[in-house]
Amino acid sequence: MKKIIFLIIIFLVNELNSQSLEQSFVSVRKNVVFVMSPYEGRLQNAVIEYASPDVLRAPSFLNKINIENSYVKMPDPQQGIIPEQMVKYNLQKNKIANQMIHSLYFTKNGEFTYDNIIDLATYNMSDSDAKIFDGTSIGKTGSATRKYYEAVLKNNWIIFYNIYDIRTMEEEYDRTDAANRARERREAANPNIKPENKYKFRPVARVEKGYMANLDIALVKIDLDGDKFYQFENTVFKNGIENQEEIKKQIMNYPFDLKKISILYTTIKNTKLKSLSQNTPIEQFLPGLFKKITKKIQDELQRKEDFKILSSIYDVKPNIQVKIGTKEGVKTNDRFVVYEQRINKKGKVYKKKIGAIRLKGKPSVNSYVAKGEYKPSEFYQYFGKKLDKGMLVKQFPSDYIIQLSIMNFFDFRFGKFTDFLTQIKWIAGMGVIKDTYSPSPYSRSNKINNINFFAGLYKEFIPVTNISFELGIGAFYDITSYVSEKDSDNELSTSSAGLFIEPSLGFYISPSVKIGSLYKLHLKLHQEDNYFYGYSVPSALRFYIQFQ
Amino acid sequence: MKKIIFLLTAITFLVSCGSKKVTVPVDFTNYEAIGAGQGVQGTALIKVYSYGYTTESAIEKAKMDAIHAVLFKGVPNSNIQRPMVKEGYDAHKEYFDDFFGLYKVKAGKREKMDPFDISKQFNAPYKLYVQLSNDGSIDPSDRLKVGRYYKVGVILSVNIRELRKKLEKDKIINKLDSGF
Repeated sequence: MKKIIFLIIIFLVNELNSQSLEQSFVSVRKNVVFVMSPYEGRLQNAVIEYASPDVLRAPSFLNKINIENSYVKMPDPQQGIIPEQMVKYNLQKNKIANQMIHSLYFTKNGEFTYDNIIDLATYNMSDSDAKIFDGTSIGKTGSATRKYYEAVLKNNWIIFYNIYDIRTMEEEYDRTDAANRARERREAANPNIKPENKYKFRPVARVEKGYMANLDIALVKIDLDGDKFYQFENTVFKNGIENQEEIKKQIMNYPFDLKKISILYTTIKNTKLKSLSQNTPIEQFLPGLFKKITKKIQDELQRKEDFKILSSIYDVKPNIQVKIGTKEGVKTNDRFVVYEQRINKKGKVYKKKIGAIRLKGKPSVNSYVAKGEYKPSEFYQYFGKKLDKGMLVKQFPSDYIIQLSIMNFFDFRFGKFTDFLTQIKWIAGMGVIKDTYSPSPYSRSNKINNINFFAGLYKEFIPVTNISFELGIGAFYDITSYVSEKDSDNELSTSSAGLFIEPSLGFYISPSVKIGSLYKLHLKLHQEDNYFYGYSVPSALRFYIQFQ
Repeated sequence: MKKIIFLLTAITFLVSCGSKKVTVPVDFTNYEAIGAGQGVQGTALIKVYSYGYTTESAIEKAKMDAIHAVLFKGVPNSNIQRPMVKEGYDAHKEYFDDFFGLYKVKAGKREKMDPFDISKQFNAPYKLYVQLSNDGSIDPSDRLKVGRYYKVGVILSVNIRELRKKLEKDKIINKLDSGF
């Protein structure tokens, strides 16, 4: 009966899992400006030098074309979480949005041009549109500009870095030591703490060199959605395009609305640049800093709705194919949820989750202007019902995998799909087995408790949709305590290490949840105590639930 | 036990409330066509929304509907707003039944084909004058499940010039310069 109720709940979850329709499907790469606040003292002079785009390298994953790197002078150095008002104040005061929009309409020499927008529109053109536009009388460029002009102007973003503390590792260690000394002094003077519990100062090991930075990051959008776009056009181009000075003045004075989407991090601490030495000038520090946090920003941005990759299934035979690739920022092992548009009895259109797919192999290389002949990336379906061409695919950022098994044992593991090896994930975990019995050549039975740690690589196979077969290979280390039947008063322990092979069979009940069973086979290579029973962790069938 | 039965009944009732079928009239002319831009000389780009049992059959049906729109309805927002065949379909019914491949000859008999099962059509003459204008992709906003049918929108390129020549040659329509 419990099983029936469980199945009904799963069914209801799927049936009720309908969402409102995506309002717009003109998928455009984001135009992003990176703005950094100066850090007085250490960075003031460096920031001025970094005003040129050539020195600061922006993350490449957004496939931007037109990026300007600038800086903003703040009245006072700010520390802590950036309040929204402060972000907008600084961006508006320094006309960052104005400069950005200005760069779309004017060359570096100050001449008015539509070329920048045309280039962006053409680059953003989908492969399907490229083929259609080829057959139009105004040609590819004209048609692309007509379709994507508005989208290009509505997709301008600012990532605002507020660096409020930079110090060398030496300084960081000094601070840590000073804090620990102060703690020792406090506890020594505190009569309420027992002498054996009082903290004893030990200097921190100074193994790393380089810099550390504390910074906040805010993601801001130049808001031209809805009527605001037409308002902007009507204001700036009210007298046509002949008077360039007038247009420039209108753009630079236009009161752009800035919509703060989120703070990506309240603080990024301990960004240690191990490749830099103590004497590395600070001018060389910043590119490395941005490179270090690029991955984190990329993962974080992909959770925002505006930055999720959207596309449609191109074909389902022989494999599931979607025309996205490196241009859109698709990475190895990326997964997507598939939706189908439906109409309900009231005539309302909604989208229903149909399945989930994951990239098979490497993403297709398409980082060039579309010509109608992109090679699609191939995917395999791991969950859901039959897919069809034209269904919407939406990126579903891959998070860490967490797996749990509980019976007379506890097994917890976490992992992630790798960034480079397709369909392979790394998993690490620990298990505890309580009060189990194992026959031993040395005694008839031993009551054993075992704690084990393991890590390995797992490859997933999907022979049939929803069914997952995994094979894992790795290494383990365990500690076993046992009570011999012959000497029940004495608890002994031993440790062992070795390799394991773990086949498992699972069933996906949603794009993120899998249940199944696994069997772990151990190959012990080393054992501390040779008087033990000969087994380490008992190989046994276990059931698990996995979240990813 | 009674509680469980009540719960199951309630769940079944709730689920079944959301599953009323949406019906689509089975009508050969049940489509929407609108101009999608000026094609290169002699062609027109038309966006057509059509119905089919599957996505593929809806796409094939859309091709038929694009030609039908050009011939008998006109296409709004395009340079072919007036229909090419002013007398209508019925004035030349047998010709157009063959033109659209609606009948097939089997064992000497003419059998009517299901207009929604276009995949069984081969070499129908209308196919020479229409083709997909893109790479075969379907925008997700152009694919909709309506009851047991699929409504799909595709942009097609219709060769107006050659189509006109064909109809003039078959004396279905007069030549443009026939009044002079």
